[in-house]
Amino acid sequence: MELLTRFANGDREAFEALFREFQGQVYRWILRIVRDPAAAEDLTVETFWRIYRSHARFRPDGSFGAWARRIAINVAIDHVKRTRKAEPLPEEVAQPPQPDSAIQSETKERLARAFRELPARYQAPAMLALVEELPYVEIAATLGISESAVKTRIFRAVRLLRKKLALQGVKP
Amino acid sequence: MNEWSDETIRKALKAAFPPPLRLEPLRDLWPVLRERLDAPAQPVAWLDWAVVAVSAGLLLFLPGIAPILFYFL
Repeated sequence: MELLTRFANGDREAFEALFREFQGQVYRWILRIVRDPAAAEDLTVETFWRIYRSHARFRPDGSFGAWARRIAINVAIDHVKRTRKAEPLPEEVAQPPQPDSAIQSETKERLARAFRELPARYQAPAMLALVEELPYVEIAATLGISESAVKTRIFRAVRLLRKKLALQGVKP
Repeated sequence: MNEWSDETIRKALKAAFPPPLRLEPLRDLWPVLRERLDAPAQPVAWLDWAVVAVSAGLLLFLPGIAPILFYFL
């Protein structure tokens, strides 16, 4: 029987094979949103747990990767909602600052903090579009919203961010 | 340059969120997942039932708060 059909029927071995094949992709999708490797590992486990729980709803003629990606992004967004306004990014996530960077270190920190205070529904598309530079159409497919909704959310994210930075007196 | 233009914000965000150092999990996550899958199902806590009851009551009597409620749930 085909792997996806076996998974849809709840076969644990088929699920493990799919986990082995897709865990890297799922981890990277989550990492793109949460930017914290340790959290991304935990959320990868959470994603696959949800995937297995929903195996009966999976259609074997569909794309497992796209389905897993949708669930992963939802898990990541839930995490952002819970941790919004919390702690600064862990040190291990980021590469060391470039000496020729035009943006001052303090400005970057304040910008990152202000960005992390944005509502999760704005953070995710803004992160994927402005930082990861994914095309709108791909972000729309990933988030399960229209392309125009993606543009609107990014526009609002930038507007809110600009307002926060102005209130805090942060200059480029 | 004293204003945050779209392009300045984009560049600054890219600088503030540099590419992650590692793109793969450090450990094999399957044992963690398997343990979780094999764990006995937890009974629903009374607090969860209380949240469901309060949410249902709020939706019934104040339907206008639905968007706020769904956002936080």
